[in-house]
Amino acid sequence: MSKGVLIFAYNNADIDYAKISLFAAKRVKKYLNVPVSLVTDSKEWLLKSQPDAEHVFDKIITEYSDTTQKRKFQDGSLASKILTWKNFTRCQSYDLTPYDETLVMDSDYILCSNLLSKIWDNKINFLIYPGIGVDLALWRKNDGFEFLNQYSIPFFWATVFYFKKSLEVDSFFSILKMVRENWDYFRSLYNIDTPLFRNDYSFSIALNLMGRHFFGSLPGKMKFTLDRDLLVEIKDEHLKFLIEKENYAGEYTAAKTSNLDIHVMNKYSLIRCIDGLGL
Amino acid sequence: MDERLEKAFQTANYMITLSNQRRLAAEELAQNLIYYTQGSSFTVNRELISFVKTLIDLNHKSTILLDDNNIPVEIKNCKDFLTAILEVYNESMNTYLKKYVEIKSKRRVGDLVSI
Repeated sequence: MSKGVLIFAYNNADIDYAKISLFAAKRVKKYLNVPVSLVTDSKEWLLKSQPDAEHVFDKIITEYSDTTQKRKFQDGSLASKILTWKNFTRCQSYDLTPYDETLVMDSDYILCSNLLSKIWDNKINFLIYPGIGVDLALWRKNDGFEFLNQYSIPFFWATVFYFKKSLEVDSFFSILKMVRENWDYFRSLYNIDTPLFRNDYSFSIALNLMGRHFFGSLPGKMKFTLDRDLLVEIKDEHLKFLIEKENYAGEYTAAKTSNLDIHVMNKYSLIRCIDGLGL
Repeated sequence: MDERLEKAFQTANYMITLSNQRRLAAEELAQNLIYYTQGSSFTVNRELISFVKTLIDLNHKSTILLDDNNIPVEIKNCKDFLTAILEVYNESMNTYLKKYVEIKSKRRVGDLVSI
């Protein structure tokens, strides 16, 4: 059975996801030692701006995403921009992956350990991180990461998930596509207050429809920092952050992680670190 | 700002960073305590170790255990399994102790995040 990682990268006017995904792919090779494929609408740009991408990625798959939805991207607690957010193609992971067993990862999920290297040949065909997780900010209350809302179903992270090609996983992705195509209906049904299509929400809904015995949990917990925090240094498996302070916008406390895979939501600071610029 | 107050704020900042670093070290420990075998994951804890040791003491060569996703897994050799999980436990605990002592010895925010 072939095994590999699939990363999605859709650039917008300001954020070079292709660059982030190349960085993520190099870390996948280092910590998981499996081939990595990329799904993008900017293959030409990627190969032009990052020539080594051709050797790093196993396959570069072109898939266009026709969305105009926009959302706010923070860079720390004081700066932000409204930008296009192309996230529609995640539901096609099953059709797009060249592997029998696939680990799908956001490009901003920064691997610092080999925790996920042993999930292959799993007894369960679909693994995902349940909500809550570990926020690097001690004080933040993340109720929205536990349930879709206080009257609704449990939340799951579409940031990273594993699947093995099988009949039931195929059905799950078919349901996922139906949720995406009928997003307005499903967001009303599940009391979701944002019109934005979010993969975490659509995955949570589809998992709820498939039932609890369809999937299992990935090992460990999802660890994350919001885009209101800043990543300031990446040194091998050590990451340094400035975490926003409670009630003091623009003030931060320092935090350092070692050997922990972290979902870094502040793409601006991630790109600065990749470019070696730090703060 | 009053010098005493400034020092108090510095201490408060240090305490927040200290709590956070201790929590992150505990998360690292939790991650290190995961043991994989036969496509299943087990969180190694004292309960699992004691249970497997009890089975061995009662002359059970093999057993069925529930993994972290509640999937039954046949453990064909309890002794080998115990050796493996004890190794995971000891190695993880040693790393955690080392880190915990190091964190405890640091008295400034800058030092805490350079460990």
